[in-house]
Amino acid sequence: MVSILTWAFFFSVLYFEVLLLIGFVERLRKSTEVSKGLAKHPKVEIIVPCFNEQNTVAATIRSLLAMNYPAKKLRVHVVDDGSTDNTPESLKEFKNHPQVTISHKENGGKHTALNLAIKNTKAEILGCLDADSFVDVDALQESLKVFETTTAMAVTPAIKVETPDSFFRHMQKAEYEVGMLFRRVFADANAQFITPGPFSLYRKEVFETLGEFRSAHNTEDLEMGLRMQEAGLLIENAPKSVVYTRAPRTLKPLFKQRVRWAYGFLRNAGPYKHLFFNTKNVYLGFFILPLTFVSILAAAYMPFAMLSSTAHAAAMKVVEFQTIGFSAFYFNPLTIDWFTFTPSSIVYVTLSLFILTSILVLAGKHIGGEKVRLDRGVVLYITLYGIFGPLWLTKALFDAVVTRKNSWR
Amino acid sequence: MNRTSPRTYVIALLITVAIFGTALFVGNKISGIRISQLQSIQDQIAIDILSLETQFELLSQVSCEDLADTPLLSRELGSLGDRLQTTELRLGTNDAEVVQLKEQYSLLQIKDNLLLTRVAEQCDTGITPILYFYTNDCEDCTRAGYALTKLRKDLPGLRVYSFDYDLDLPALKTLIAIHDVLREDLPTFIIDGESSTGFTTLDELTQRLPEFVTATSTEEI
Repeated sequence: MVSILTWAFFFSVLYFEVLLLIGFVERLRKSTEVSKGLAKHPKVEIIVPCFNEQNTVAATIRSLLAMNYPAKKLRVHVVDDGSTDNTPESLKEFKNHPQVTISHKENGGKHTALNLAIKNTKAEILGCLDADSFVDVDALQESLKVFETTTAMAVTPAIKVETPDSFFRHMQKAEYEVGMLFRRVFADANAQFITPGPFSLYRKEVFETLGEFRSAHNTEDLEMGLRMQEAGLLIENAPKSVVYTRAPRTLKPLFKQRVRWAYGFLRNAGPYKHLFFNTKNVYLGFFILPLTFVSILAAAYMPFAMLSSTAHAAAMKVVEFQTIGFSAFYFNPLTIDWFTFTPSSIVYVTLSLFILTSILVLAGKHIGGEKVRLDRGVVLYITLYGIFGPLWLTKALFDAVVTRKNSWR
Repeated sequence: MNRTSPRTYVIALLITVAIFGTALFVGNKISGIRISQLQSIQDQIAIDILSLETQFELLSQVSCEDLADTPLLSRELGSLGDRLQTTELRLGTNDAEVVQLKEQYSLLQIKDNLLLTRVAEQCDTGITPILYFYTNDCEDCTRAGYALTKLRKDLPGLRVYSFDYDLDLPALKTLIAIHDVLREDLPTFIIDGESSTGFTTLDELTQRLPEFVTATSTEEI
């Protein structure tokens, strides 16, 4: 028997996905993109906060310097947030580079590194790039085009997984592709509430008006996004501004990262609870924020519901084994009674969700300019994400309830 | 600033309701088909029993040789019981259709048992009936159920009639009264007319069966 709560969760998640799909279809209908060059080249400074990123930071900086943008208008400010590995060594090759500023400070968290650079900047547009991410040569131009043609105060990019070479990276590749769709559709509805660490750009006025980054439970990008929404500042998206991020390769760091993200959402939801059910932004207030919240609860609840029914079935099997011995496990496929395999309605709803999620990933591929096909990542994401996702969502929920602090690594 | 028209939310809601409704409809439809299948099996069994009863009435006496050629009593009752159990697990014990099917099934079992008793008076049927009374909230009944399912598979000479003690069916109440079955004594077994209560182990239950039944075991494991 399926509880009302389970049905409610399924309905909410399904509604969320349908809303996204409609957003995607509307985007396809409206799409009248004109690819022109930039009229102006504003001064841009990209901040690269880093803590123990010896393996990737140099490549991150090189990708920024290789961008298709006038060198005299582009600066890169690397802030070493008290790294204890060889990050300072890795930075030495840029010591005398005319476009690069390197600052070293005591470890204080990513937000402090960003704020240090923001305080000293003369640029009109400020960007942030995590030191494990790499930009495409046209990424900056594409984001600046959006600034030029809209009233956006911040522009988010399309984030892709760099070299998916492991089980979890393949799975995340599809997840990031859905993320590209999320950002695009949310931006169309003025409902983006995260300005992600990999290559989100801001007009300088954002910080002059709203102040600097806050610790925000190690999700300063989410808090800044919520703060901008609170102030009614527009966050746009540039799907052609491509940035590649080095996603966690194994479950342990992935788990840690995702717990931090989900925990960050849950803890930041408190101070910004007035954005929930706020009529000033119906899509965000009545749909996106509550549905994100419900999705976390659902993902945490559903496995328990499943676990409880599985545990009950297992307990019954034990009783059967205790009663009749190994005959309890006797199974003859030839004498199987197909009557016993009657899928209930919940199976069909789940199937609908699988199909809809697949369509969303493919839509995300389309948004990100990828080949629209059911690759390994999509299959892994559809079939297995539902097993792993609840692990970190449950942990984040638990941590949020007992207000346990989360760390970066 | 609201950029999305209310129409979008309504369309999304309608599509979601349509998907949800279709899934519910398909699920319920298939459940309905399964119930109809059960119903039709029960109807067939009822016809079989009625046919045999009528045969008895018409001829007043049927030779044992004739009976050997007759599809004597329904062997499908066992598998019908399994299917009914599956349906009960899926739809719940209190589902109106499940209760109705269980009542019909119990009636068929009682009639089948009466007929078997009647035939056994004249001929050697080679069948030993067990009337088994249980409730859904009795722990030993669950174990007894597993044991009887195994015995039914292993011993072709055994016919198990299982009755939910809590079922509100006058014929069942009468059967319970005849055999003096008490709720606190469940599980209760009436083996060849002999009453015994409680369940400990499969072996112990097997020992309560007549020797000739256990001698024809087709145990697979």
